Amino acid sequence: MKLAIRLPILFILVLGLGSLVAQGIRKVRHEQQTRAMLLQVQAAVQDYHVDQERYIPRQELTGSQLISVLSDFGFLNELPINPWTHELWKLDGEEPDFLRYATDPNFETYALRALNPKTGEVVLEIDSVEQPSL
Amino acid sequence: MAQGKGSSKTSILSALGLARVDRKILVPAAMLFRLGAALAIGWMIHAHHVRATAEGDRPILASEVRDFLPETHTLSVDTITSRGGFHVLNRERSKIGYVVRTMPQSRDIKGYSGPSDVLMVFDPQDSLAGIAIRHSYDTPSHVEDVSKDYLFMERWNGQSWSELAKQEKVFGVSGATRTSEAVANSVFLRAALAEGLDQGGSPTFHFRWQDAALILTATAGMLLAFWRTPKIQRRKTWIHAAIVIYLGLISGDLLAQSLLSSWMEHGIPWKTLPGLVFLAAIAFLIPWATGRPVYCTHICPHGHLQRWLMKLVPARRKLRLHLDIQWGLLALPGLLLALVLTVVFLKIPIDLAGIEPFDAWALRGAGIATIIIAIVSLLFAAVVPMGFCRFGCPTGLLLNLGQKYKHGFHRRDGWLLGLLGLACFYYFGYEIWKPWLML
Repeated sequence: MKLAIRLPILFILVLGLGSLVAQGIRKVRHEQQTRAMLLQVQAAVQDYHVDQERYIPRQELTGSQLISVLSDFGFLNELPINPWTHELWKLDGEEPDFLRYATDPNFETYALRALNPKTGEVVLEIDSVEQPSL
Repeated sequence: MAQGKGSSKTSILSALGLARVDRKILVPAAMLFRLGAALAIGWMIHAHHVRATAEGDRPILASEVRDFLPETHTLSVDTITSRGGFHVLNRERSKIGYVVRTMPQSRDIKGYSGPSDVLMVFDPQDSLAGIAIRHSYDTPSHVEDVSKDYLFMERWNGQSWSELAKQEKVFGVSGATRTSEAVANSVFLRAALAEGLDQGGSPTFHFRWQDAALILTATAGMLLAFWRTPKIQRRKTWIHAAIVIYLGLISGDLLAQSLLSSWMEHGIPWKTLPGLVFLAAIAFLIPWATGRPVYCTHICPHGHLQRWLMKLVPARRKLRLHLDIQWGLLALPGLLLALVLTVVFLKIPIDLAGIEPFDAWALRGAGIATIIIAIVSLLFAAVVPMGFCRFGCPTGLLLNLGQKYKHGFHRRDGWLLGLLGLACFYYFGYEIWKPWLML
């Protein structure tokens, strides 16, 4: 009788708090993965700039398009991990992609933005003017 | 009932082989254990925070330091000074130097296109042994030019922290002027911060009327707990009401997990908030030394509100919880303390103010979760006497964990031991769980 009441209560409490922790850990891991991806792509964008003396001359690109360009030019030795699928970027245009690249009309600055899949708000941003580091 | 408790206590002591040990030994041993465990947990939280801040997203590796100090074997986080770096130890664990990185403090010093993270290694005499650019958001070719210019990179070798902190003029590397200036300025800023010369230095002692009011509140609580004359006790309700009005509604300075964990991480602000620090010291030390829970019984406004509710609601409307349900619910505050440790060590984005109702007393700044918990806790306390204090308050349990017990050790010491074990796992197992969290 004792255990029949005590254990379920304990189980429910541990499960409730455990799910809270699990949710938090998922958030931390996702943010770290997004940061790592942004830094890897940023290094490639800067290498492109050093080589071509301008940033990629397309005013807006999705993550897949940007990574394809950087990969084709040989500035990405290995494909980054897509933080929204937790797998290597496939570049098929089908996978969830919330990375955006933007440049100015003269291709002298750049901005990389990771968006919130639900709201479209910028979650993390790295650019050449205001926030060059994460 | 009392007999049952006594026999269970005896059986615990017998199981531990302590049944015949004199209370004169058991009581101080238990007190020492509680003090030691609490201090150890606090120290581990602080040391972990210093380590995580010093490492940032790019931890310093021993191999990097070996370029300057070849005998480097281990890096040990410096929790004593405010320099925020690591002691460099050799194989025999003797100190052979000191190392810091300039990021994240130098984040705003940008070169051509971004900031640089510079490694600063000091010899045992605290003179600079050398610098190295660890990582840079600047243009790669400029960074390479600077790192290869040995005249520039070795220019400040041999200088002390204070000499570096006072440096101003920089002669940059030709062709990479802005990058090299950013590197040098990052080094100077980091040294100045370590010496306390930047940001106005360390804070000075500041005593305001609010501090005096908090000290008065704590003193009133102690007066009620220890001065048990009818003259004082007759005025108890009025003193409690005054405490609720000032501490709860005016100042909102209730002890809470969000406050205490932040103090553990960043240090106790005894210079800037002496009144609140005094209140916290009373809340911890008086139960530890005397066994009387002064804060919970006489100071906490949320406790007073529950006590008044208990008297307002007639007995026939009260809920009698089954003993086994009570047993299960009693685990909640302990589990919440484990959650707090997990959040603090793993840096999980959970607002600790949201697990307790205390922020709801500061009406304007309270979040939705806090307000809901405050309302639910009071409704629960209306039907279950002191329900929140007994089954939901992690801060109350934390204060009770240190409480002196006349027989020496108590069952709740098991919780303290468990929390100490969890903190040890998080602190000493950092290298194991860090990669899993991708930190």
